[in-house]
Amino acid sequence: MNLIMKNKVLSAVCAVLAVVGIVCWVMQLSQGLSLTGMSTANSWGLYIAMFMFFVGLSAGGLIVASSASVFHIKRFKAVALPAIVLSTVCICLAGMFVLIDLGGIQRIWRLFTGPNFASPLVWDICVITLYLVINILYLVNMRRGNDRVVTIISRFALPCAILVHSVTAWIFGLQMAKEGWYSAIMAPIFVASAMDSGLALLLCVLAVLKKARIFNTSGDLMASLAGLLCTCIAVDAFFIFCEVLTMAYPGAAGAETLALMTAGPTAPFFWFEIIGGLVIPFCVLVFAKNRERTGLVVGASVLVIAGVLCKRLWLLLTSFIVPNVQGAPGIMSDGSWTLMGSYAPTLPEVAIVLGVVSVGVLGFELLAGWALAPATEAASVKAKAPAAAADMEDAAPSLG
Amino acid sequence: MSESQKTLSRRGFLKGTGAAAGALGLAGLAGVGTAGSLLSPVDAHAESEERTAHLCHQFHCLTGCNLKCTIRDERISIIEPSDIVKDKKHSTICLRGIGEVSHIYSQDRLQVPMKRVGERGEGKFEQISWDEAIKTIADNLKETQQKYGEGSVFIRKSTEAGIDFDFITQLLHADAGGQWGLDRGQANGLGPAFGPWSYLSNRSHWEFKDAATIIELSHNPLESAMVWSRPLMDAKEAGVYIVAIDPRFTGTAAKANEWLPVRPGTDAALIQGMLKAVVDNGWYDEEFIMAHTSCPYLVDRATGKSFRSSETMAPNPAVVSAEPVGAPFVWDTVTNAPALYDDPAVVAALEGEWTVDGKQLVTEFTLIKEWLDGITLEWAAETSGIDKQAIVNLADRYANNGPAIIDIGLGGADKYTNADVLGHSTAMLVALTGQYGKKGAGYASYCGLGASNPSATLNYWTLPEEYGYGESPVAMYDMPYKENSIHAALTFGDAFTLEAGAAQDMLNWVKTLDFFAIVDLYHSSAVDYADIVLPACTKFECEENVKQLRDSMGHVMLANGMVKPLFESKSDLQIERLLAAQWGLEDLLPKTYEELARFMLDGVADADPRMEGITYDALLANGGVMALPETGDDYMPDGTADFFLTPSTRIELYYEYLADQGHALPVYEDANEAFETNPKKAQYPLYFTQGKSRYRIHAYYSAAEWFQEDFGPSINIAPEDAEVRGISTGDDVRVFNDRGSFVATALINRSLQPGVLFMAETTYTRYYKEGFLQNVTNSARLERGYSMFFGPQIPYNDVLVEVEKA
Amino acid sequence: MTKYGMAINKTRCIGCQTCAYACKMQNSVAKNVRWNRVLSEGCDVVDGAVGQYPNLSRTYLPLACQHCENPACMKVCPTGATYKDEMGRVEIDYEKCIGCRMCMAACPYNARSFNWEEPVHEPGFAYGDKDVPERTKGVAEKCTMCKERTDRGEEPRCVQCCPMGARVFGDLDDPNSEVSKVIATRHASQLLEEQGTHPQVYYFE
Repeated sequence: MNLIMKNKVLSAVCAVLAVVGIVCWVMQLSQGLSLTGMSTANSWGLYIAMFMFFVGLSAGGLIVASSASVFHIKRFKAVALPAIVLSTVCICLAGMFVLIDLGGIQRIWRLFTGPNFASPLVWDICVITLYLVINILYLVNMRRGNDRVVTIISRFALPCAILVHSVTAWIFGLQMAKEGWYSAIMAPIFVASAMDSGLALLLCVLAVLKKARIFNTSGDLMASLAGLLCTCIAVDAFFIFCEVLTMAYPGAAGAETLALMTAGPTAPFFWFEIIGGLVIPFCVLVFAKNRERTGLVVGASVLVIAGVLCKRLWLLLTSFIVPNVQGAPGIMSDGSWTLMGSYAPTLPEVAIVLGVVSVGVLGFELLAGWALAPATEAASVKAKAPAAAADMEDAAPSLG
Repeated sequence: MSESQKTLSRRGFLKGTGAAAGALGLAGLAGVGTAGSLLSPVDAHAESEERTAHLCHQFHCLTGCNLKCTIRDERISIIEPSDIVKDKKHSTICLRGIGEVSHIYSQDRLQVPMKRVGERGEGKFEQISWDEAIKTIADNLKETQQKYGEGSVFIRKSTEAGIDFDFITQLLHADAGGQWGLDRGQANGLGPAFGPWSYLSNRSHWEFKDAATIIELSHNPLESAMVWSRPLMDAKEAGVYIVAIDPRFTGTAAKANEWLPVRPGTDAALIQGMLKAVVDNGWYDEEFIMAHTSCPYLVDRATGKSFRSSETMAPNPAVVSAEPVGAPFVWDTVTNAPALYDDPAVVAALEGEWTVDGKQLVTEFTLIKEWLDGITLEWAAETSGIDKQAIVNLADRYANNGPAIIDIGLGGADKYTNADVLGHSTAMLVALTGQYGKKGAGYASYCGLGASNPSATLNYWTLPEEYGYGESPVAMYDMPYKENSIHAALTFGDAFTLEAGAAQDMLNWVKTLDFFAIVDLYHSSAVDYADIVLPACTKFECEENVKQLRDSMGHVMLANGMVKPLFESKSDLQIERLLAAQWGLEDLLPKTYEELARFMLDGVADADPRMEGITYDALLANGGVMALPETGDDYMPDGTADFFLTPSTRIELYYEYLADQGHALPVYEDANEAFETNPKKAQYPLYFTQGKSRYRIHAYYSAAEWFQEDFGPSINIAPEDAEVRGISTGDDVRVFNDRGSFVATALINRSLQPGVLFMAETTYTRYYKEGFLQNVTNSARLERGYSMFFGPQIPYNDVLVEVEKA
Repeated sequence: MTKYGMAINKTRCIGCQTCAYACKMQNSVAKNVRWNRVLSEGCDVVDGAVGQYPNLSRTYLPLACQHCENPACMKVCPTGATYKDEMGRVEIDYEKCIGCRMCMAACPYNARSFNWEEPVHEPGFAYGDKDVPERTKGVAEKCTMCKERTDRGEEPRCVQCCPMGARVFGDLDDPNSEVSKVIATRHASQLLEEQGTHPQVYYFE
């Protein structure tokens, strides 16, 4: 089954965006990262935020799929295949964002000839590679119907999925220099938001596949997954509350960072995450009746995904605003010395991000077409590509 | 401006490729637009050839560090403190020395001779050849002199351009522009008391640590002269109490124990408050007063003239008029009659009034007391804005707490019309308290000049007798306002916008000249008004291996190891020779800097045995640096209070020559514009002040790209003043008054007294959005200044303005 | 062992920025990059003031790489490009730097700069010490404690050029070195001590 050819409009749009993104990336390779809005004061930006975001999105799929085997939740088995496809694509995108963010990608072989195992980035690269391998093995064996192997792999997949998000969290959480990152709860928060955003994305994709008659998921299962999402949202909100309380209570350095989060330049992202990403979806999904209505579930899921994206942004960027030492040597922008950092992504930077996401959509089409073919051959004859396209676009993060 | 020059130069390059002007010059021309291609690309360092050179740096910060330059591939790549000076304390550098790496190769260097093609001020030029440029200048100067006489040509070499020689002005008997009017306001006021050059200290500033108190009066050495600040920080570490008197919270104020934020232009009121406290409380040093000052001298109360002998003359002539004067009388308490001041048998009265031959004779000290009776501490406090008790405390600390130094700045308070009153008042405070001529005490500008280092004896190249400066009936700064005969001008450096206030008046006058040529290093503000522009080279460049011979920091320094002049620039000497050749007079000038240096050293050891062994060849063998024998850590000149270059050789506090103008004593008067009760404040409520910045010496270094990263034309404004005007940091603001306006970037800075603006001294107009700061400065003249030693001073800071968002 | 370090006298520091430019010159530091910079502590502008008129104060803080004994930047560097050398200096092997900027996130002092593009030199040639390696775009750079000079037995350029003599350089492992003595006798402190990075650059008053 060729989903790319079936969804011509979507595929064409994605192909164009992907080409634009690649052109911008080549420009970035030749000109340097000055093409982006990053500066020495704000040394990480949209790419790293998207890296965190996609690592998280990848989680939901693998966790649902592997839970099915590990905890013998038979119902989840039904969606294991699309979940794994989604997870595989997302983790590839996450990896691409890390590579795009590198200033000296031509020296990347140094990672293999002389890795520093004290670096959380090295841990992350190892774990992500392992994670990707597990995903692929999972996918291959599942499609072949090799249940025994799938069960074994799933035993490794679940802890690996949790680990991949924890290690990503530790890239930030172990940095004492950044008040807003340095926290033991960073890994649990990452896992929780990975669960809710990943599940939300899975729900959206399942809804789209169902609507397009590519892959049918029962209403019961959707509701059940929505229930799980609701729980995850609650857990995520609880962790965030723990973190915020810990920051605020002593009224010390943490409170200053919190003040920036709640009232500073990153406040809109913070408040969208709290209200749009946690409170509203929770209030919607906490009622069983609402969970049965696909429209509400998808709506809540989109909010959760957007909320988690916002969270990645405020989490990353807030810690760059006020340096420990005001006006330190590395801080300079626009050819004049400044005392604070500031950041806004540039157009090419956004184009590269959209390009990567487009590659992801195409990749999903390709992979899903191959993986889901036997199960959906009959149903997919009259698939409505445009509908899928529209919904996929919703799921894709947009910074407009 | 800059665009047109770039375009010109690119075209010039294309045109000039045939007439190759040296590979380096061409490479430079090709790259005018971008510094990246200023010079051909450099390959790996390793294969490059390196050599070192030494030279004496800037004169104008009064420092003159010897710098060691590493020249790689004929480019000055490293500049560092000299390692061949005799003592480590003279192995110095500051950011200005280091910044030369950027400054020498600045994009705003003038590169080729140019002639004006647009209107004056428009900045449109076309490249011409050196031959054409020199001939045009000579033809115009000749024609002007034939038509209007020799005095119709004005030529000025600014201080930094070609130190130690100025031939062309003398060869043409040109008008050199008279008094400069720069930064000698206090010197005008203290000179008659302590002698004409007494604004430079007669003791070493390395003695700072021996003082109990140092008062930095309108002096900010920590930003203006970093290299000379080391003794001040030694003193701070040694626990000396440092007081900074300045309207602004300067770098020096930040390091001081106490900051007294006087209102601009009112420093004299504060000092007079101190005088009042000293005299009222009897804190003066009577022994010192009797031995070293004119306080017991008699004055004829009716005429205000000193009561002098008509037979016996004083040892020295009068300070200002240079005319011989009679020896002063004192009242001898033994014979109860007037007696010569220096008669050893006399016991002079300090105070009193007597009638002799119908004349009411009174001592100077009595007059001083009477004058001070009319002053109150309340007035001093109200005028200066400094709390009464703070004034009394400072007076107490200064007079009664061990040796104290008053270190004055050249600039700052000098830039108000009433600066002479300040100089006179401070001279009186120092004299009455006896804080002079002993270890840890003194009063002067402790800068690089003066007695801190031994100085060398050198020959000066002289021209035949028939050549010399012409008359200067009108000072340059007065030319726009006073009738004068100038019709053509040639300046080395930007005299017109740097050495005069109210730039629009000056530049409008420049526009009326028949001809104006400028020789400069950078595209300075006046360049746009010139008919012919000649590019000079920096002190690091020369046609020959050696350049200037200088006497600095107790060393004789011969610049050597020069790089060739960049682009098509030439050294001052060769430019002067080219000009002189147009009159057939070039043979009167040294052919080379080598010839000049050899001449300056030739036979000096015969006149001064200290110069023994310091010859041209010995200098070159020693990297161009040789110390004078006394130079070293223990060099401490023993400046005393026993002899002054005043008529009676004592400190003379009563200024007879100003008696008719009512200023025999330092009677306070407001500045011309900058005073609280000025009705103009309703319209222009803010004081506009300018001063030195570490990033520049006057406008010099403005073109250094490294400094431009940190520092551009920005106007510092106090938060209170910014808030009411809705101004934020980074806004473009218009600063204006009746004289003109300019636009600069606002910088909200709380290290300012509210109501006072501050800007680093002028920079080239091309760096402003519109106009430049000299458009608003004051050109008022103090009438009595014309009778003073240094003439009236330009009151750059005596300025009120308003600011608004542009 | 040798452990190079520095002590900076904040009483003597007059904020003149000479060290900042000396560093720029010595190390051929490009346009809009500084390895070393003198900060006006707590001020919203350079050369500003803290407090309310007329009770103002201003102190300067010269800041560059602190050459920490426990360098956060080194720990997080994935390729070992940042390393602690045998003289106790924190150095960067530009050949190994992949430009991930982990080090920049980790440094509590914001001491590092990144070459977001090919470095631009004004003037347009490689001024500075001939032994200083060139940096390309995509690598991080910072104060090396003038590795090239200190390897030759010279003091760092900022120490040599400071007009106030506010900087003392030497071996922290040698109790008789001037720097060790100054640290011991003048109650020298370290910047952001609570970060546990143990800087080898000390400050004293």
